Amino acid sequence: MGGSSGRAGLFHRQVAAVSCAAGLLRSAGALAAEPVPPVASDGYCQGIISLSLAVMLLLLFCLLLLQDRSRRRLAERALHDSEERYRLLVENSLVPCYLIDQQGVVRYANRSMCSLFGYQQDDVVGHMNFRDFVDPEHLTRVEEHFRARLEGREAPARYEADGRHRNGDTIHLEVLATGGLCGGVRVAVGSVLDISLRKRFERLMLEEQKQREEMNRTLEERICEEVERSREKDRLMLQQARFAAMGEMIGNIAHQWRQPLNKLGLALQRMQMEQEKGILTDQLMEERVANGMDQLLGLSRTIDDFRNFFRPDSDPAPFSLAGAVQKTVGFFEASCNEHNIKIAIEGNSSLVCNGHVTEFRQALLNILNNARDALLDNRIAEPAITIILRDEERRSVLTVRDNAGGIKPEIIDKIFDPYFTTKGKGTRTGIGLYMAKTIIDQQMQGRIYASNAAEGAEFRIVL
Amino acid sequence: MRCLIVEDEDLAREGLIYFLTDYAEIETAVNGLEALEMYRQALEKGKPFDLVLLDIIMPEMDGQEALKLIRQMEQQQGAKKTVIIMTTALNSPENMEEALWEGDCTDYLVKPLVRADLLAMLRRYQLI
Repeated sequence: MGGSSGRAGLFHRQVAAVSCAAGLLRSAGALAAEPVPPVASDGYCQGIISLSLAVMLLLLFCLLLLQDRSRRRLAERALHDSEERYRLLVENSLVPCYLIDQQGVVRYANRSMCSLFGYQQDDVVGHMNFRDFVDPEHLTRVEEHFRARLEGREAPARYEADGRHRNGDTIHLEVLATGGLCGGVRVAVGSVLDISLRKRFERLMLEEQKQREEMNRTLEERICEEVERSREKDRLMLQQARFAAMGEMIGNIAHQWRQPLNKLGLALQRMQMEQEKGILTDQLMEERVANGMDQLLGLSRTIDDFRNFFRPDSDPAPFSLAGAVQKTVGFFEASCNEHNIKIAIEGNSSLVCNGHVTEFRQALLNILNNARDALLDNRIAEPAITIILRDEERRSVLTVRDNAGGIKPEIIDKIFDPYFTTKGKGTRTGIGLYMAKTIIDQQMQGRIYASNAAEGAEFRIVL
Repeated sequence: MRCLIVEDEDLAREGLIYFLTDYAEIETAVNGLEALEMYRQALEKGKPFDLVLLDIIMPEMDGQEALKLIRQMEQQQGAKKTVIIMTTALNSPENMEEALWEGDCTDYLVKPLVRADLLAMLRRYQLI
């Protein structure tokens, strides 16, 4: 504003000076045109003065004119410098910029803009329409924005649209569009940003979020399935362990039965021989029958005990720990006798525990079987198993100790793992100790520990 | 025929005695240790046993251990190998293998014992 008023003042001063000079010149001319009086020296002098003034004014005018031209050159140079700066700024900018006329023809696009779409500037400027750069699916929306810019209906807008590269690839763009006058004509100008990377990242984030939501949605369901699967697995393993234990037990029963069956058989055959020899008296007959019946009742009791041993308990109940141990050992010692394994029970016989006694007996039987196998594997000269019952800090503690040499340190942490066995497949199931631990931990709310004592392994059950 | 019956169960021992009473001069032992001592004495007297019926599961010394020591005694004294028949309630393959090969028994009978089977076996070994 200051410069503008300065320039206006100068203009007015120049005009005033010129007007004044013109007036003087006209006065001088009029005087000259008028007849000079013959003898009038004052008039001559006046003419000289007027002429001098006119010359001086002319000189002043020329001076002012020269000064004005110099200022104009300076202004033109400043304008040129300014234009160069703007051109440099826009042309070399890394932000793609454009100017589009009312027909949609690209009147200007900087190098970044052309490069973004895979073109050279010469291909684009003045030749291509902005529609050539827009994905057909987004064209309607972009055209709406374009018309709004030309009509000046909306303030500068920021929107997203898909562009199309020269090679056909889609480019995700963010457009910052505005409008303006250029040469008195309204045009659309703006810049675009390539947001393909951002969009890809957003899409990935969205997919991840969807997956997360889906996972959360199905998490509970999957947990339930896994829990059920785990329970089913445990049930199968329990069943498998029970079958294995029953197999062992049937072996024990067979041994327990073999002796009485033998006695019974011998008694019957003896009776036959006595009868053949005619010496089978009524008294002998009575003796033989009584002996035979004793053997038969023994066999029957064995069967009942066997059936009760595996009969599932409906509810947990208090039971005598020593009683459960004696019952288990009663079944187990037949196989111990077979191999000359000494088995002893020591300690407090009045301990009472709460739980499923059948499950407990199975757990103990598995531990005893494991001890017996270790004794046989290591061919111990005087194999022995000792069961000790103690009351420790109001907890019942049962310890099963053998003299089989102990558990190797490298496997002691694995012996309770399912299917872990030191023997090859087919020989043993490898679930006996796992089931023992499961029963003690989960069903008896107790703890079972394995360690090595002086002569062998020691299993400590705390209930 | 001289026979040694080694059996810890009274009824079983009596039954076996009755089975063989018509065929043999019978002596009895109730465990492996006693059997070993009787066998040694019989050899020393020059009246060795022709047949030993040897139970496996017994207190003090089991039949398998007694078998090994009897065979060692025979070898040391240059005596002929006596027919030793194991009588056992064990019928698993491992037990059989151990009894037959490791212990070097002549044969075995699985309980419950049948008189006819026992007599057939004795005939096979030409003892009756």
